[in-house]
Amino acid sequence: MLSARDKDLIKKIQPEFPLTERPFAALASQAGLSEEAVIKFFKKLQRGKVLRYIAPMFDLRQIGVVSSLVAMKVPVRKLKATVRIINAYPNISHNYLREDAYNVWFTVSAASEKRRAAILAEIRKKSGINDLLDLKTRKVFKSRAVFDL
Amino acid sequence: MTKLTKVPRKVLFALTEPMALVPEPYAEPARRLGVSQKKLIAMIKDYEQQGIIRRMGIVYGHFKVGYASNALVVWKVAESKIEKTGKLFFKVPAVTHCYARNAYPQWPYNLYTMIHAKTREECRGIIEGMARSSGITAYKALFTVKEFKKIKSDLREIL
Repeated sequence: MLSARDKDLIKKIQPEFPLTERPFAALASQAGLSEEAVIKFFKKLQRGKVLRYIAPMFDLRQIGVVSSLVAMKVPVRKLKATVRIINAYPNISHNYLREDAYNVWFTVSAASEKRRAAILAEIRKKSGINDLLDLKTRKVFKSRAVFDL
Repeated sequence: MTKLTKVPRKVLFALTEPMALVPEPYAEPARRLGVSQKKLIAMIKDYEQQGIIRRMGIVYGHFKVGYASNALVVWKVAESKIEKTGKLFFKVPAVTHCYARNAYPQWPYNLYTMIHAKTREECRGIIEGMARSSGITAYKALFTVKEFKKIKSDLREIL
């Protein structure tokens, strides 16, 4: 778990990674620490899975990736096998169990509409589940995870 | 084949790996691309300006930072009100994602929001507040029961 001091530090560090040759040194000045201490801190957060990653966040649509949110109605007895089928695809980055008759919700991204549709057809076929909602994005109003601790 | 406008594939591939936690993390992707760090940083800034890169993200796992409850809330909004409602929900701090999506006869919901809060009660309170302020009465809160998968997309495997 995070200590109060850790939380305080995360709060001080902006979620934008600086675009300079020594980004940790830039973050260090925000947090009032040394560059070395900031790197050590991030390594600790990463070990504890608190930090997932630092990376450029591409707007996937802008680089030609097509994606959608998909919901499936999966009976409990088929849940395990179906999740295994879905999770096997690198194209599926998020998959959750939710409280609804449509209980399995995942995102699928592919380099073309054809590939995306093919993946969903495969999942239907392999799982034997046909009740599937393919929810394509019409507009993004907000996509940003910023938390107050 | 994929039509990758604007960004060369090798740039995407060089940048798809998370930054190393070292003093000069841009050095390795720059080396892979055969450009200087300065040049790579200028390229990323340029992509940001064009909206191709949203930001250089420091991404935390929210389960770990105390956001134990979250729900996907789906709303049935009149077409003429989608824009206004989307903008209204944008302003709610607990909303991390707000998307308009296509609906189906058996699933009439066209606006999707992810809500993150510390407890289920807090989530419910936020959702009720959103319903009141928007005047939308047809909605469902689909609380997250379990995370089956959550990874950073690897562009080398998708493209």
